[in-house]
Amino acid sequence: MGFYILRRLLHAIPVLLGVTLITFVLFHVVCPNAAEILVGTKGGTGEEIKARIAKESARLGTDQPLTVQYGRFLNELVHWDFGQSWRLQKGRDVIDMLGDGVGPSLMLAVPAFLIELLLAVSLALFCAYYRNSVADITTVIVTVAMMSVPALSYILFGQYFLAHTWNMFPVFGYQPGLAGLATLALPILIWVALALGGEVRFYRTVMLEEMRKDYVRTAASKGLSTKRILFKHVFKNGMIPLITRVIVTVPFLMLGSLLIERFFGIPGLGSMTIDAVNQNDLPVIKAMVVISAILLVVFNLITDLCYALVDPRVRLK
Amino acid sequence: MTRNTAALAVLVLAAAIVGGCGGDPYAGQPTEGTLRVVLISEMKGFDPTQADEEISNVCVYNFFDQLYEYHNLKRPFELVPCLAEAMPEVSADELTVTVRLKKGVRYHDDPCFTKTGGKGREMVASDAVFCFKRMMDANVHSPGTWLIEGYIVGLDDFLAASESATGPKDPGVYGPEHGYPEVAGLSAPDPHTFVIRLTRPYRELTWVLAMSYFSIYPPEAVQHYGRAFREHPVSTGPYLLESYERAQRMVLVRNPDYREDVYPSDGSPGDAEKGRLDLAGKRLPLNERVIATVIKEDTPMWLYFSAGHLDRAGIPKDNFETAVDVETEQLKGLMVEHQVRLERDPRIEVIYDCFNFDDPVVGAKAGEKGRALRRAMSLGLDEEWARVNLYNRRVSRVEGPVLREFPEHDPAFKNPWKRRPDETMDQVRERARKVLADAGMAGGAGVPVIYVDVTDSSTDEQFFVSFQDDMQAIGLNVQAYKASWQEQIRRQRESKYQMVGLSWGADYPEAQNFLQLYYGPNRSPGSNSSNYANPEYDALYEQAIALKPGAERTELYRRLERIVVDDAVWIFRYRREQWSLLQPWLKGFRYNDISLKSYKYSHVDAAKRRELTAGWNPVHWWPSIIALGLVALLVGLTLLAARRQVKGW
Repeated sequence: MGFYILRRLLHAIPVLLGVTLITFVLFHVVCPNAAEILVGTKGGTGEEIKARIAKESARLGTDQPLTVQYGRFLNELVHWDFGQSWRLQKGRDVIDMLGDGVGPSLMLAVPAFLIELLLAVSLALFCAYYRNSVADITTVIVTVAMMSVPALSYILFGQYFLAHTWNMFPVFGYQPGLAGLATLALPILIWVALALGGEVRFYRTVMLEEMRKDYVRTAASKGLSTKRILFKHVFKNGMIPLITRVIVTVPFLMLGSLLIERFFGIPGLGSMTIDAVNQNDLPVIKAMVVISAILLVVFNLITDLCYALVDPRVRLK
Repeated sequence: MTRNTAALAVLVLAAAIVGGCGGDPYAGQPTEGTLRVVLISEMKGFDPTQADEEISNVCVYNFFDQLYEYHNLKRPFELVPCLAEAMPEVSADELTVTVRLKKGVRYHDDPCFTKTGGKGREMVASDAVFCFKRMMDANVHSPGTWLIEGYIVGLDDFLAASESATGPKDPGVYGPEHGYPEVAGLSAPDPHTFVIRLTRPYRELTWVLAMSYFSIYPPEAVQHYGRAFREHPVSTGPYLLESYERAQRMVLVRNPDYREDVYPSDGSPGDAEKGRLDLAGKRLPLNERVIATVIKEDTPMWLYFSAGHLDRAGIPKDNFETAVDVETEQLKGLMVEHQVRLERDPRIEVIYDCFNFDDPVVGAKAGEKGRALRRAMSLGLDEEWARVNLYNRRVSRVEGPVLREFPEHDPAFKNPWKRRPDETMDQVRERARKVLADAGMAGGAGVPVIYVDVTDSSTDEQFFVSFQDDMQAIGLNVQAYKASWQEQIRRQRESKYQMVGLSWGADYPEAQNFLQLYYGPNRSPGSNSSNYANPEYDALYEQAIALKPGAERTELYRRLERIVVDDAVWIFRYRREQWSLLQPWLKGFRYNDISLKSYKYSHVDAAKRRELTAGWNPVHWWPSIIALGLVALLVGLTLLAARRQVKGW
């Protein structure tokens, strides 16, 4: 297994290099010289402004050849240094900003994801067992309908009716810790409503696939109880796709929910990403892109390792 | 965990969530004398040297004192002494400016004052010298250096030296031992006298001294906190910082040692009738606490205001017609029911379409034809339609760069290349067609496609489409050049665009701040984005800015305005109006788009707020009971159906 992990980590290097290269090139196409934006146009003649831009370019290193700039970018990454924010919190280390944002993102995402997972797997088992019945079709239609409503509609409906008109939830706000659960109740509800449809459909397909297998029929003909067949056999054998989906979702949980965080004032990474894009804070955007890529690579590796744990037939070579 | 324990845990958690739901978002916090306001984006800290955008300015202006400040009520704007004892004394040659400081003004108590065991010391003139030097320290990277660069004797040398200074960056002390030279133009001959020696007369300096960049703070705070100074500000201002969560809220509490400062007892004509002088002579700040909440999206902000959780707010575009009767331009519905007041204040700005004078079609190279084209385009714009449909009527007409707030404004002057109030759109379009025809471009003949730089935002798209329709009506083919915001900036810097929509907000309320936008040497990448180059204009501008305010300068400013309008350098569109909604319990607030210092003037009648808002936000549980009933019914029916159609294995 050690060799397998090493090999996968080595495979990750070109992937990450590719991501950094694409990120670097994209940002240089969008914003060829950040110094121009930072200097602005105020105060001085055109020549004076040009001189200021030259000075700022030298400070940022944007006057260097692109290869040198890319090398410096990689060097900073290796040292886990994403530089300092240009605008959002000018002069603050980006890594500290990201550290501040992870907690609030997880405060929202973890409970929402767990509730969503619990509901989705339960409903999927139910639908699969009563497949093609009125119950199955109704559940699928309702969850797909829920999935089809745009996120913004849920947010606006929730904030206007549930929070403002009926005063059942706070309209807005965030508090860390358990006290914050009250302010997070509505965002969590919206998250679950948004995600449930897709998850139910996916897990239903997975469970149906399992239920059609011979061992299930054998188990039933042996006289095992429905509960035992469903939870001991079907559910356990359906774990591989379930694990894949859960683990691949984890990086996205950390990166937060763009819209929900922003509308509910949750100071997480999703909200920070939108602000960084709006305010052209390239170091923050670059850090988010690169960290997303790293998380995806790492969690994909973890997924593969987990296969071996849940299915002894899988051998990691 | 047994099944019963798990069920109990779920119930307790649910009860905790439900118990905390609904109600007042400020529950548990003192309400008496608490001002509750919104910040539309997250805070970036309190370092005055970095105050280059709205929210930083809100934080800095309200927390710090400057040498001068804007009179809260007077319009046009007027400056009054803040930390200064009186207005500055300017020498006959205008090269020495002396500011006498108030005596006995103390900083907040703070651990940074190690010598006095945390007791705040008196503010002295050397602090002002330090703050000016810190602004120009290259390691601080202040975006406001341009305001004093080149004006103060020795300060540019200090800037250059700071780039190579050894020792710690932004050390909070500037001495020769670290390679920082003395600045001959900044001195403190005694603790209460601050002297600035200029390299050339700087008429706008007093306005600059009232800007947030030039707030006064103790060097000890920078020495003690270093980079964390932005989160641990120390000032002489009316508030102490109780809590600061950059992305959520800040809470300010009254500074018990705040200097003698009172609400003004005079204002602009009509202020007394509007009750704006009711608080005259009252000791500032007029509130005990300020809770400023960061709400980035319009919808939650609007719902908060409607529920009475905010004491004032702007009107989001999407909620405009809910709040305002578009015909009468008065409040309606819930706003009237809640006795909300509407105040309208024009911003000191111009929104305009900029022509690039380097361009061979619309610019100077096209000579008379180019000028005729620009004039015709200016005439062809249906300003009224855009005012009503794109701006919710929250803009007003602009004739030229000298706005009516400036003493040099000529009320008789009307821009001849704009639709007259007595003209119909058909008439003005006819006039535009004639201008084109007279220049040999009848019906747009021979005029190539003109490209306007437009971003992908839906707002930009709306503006462009209406402009395109207007130009089509006079025979011109205008197309969008889609470019990101960053690319637009690059195209402007490199003078590669033909036309672009821009706006300019005043740094200080002086006509010069607008007239410099046409001064030839300021061309791209400077602030003259039009790249307008007119030797006559440049000579008059140089002559005008060397003059003291008075009849001669007024005459020159007016001539400059006429030149710009005659050449149709810009299509002067409008200036925005700030429509502020004020809850009935709020008094003393007056909108100021330049200084943003308003907290200390805002008085909240907490008893009135309690009385009026009682019953505004009752909790309704019936929707959730109905919803749960429906879910239970659906689940029941589904289970029933399932039992009847068991598929099994």
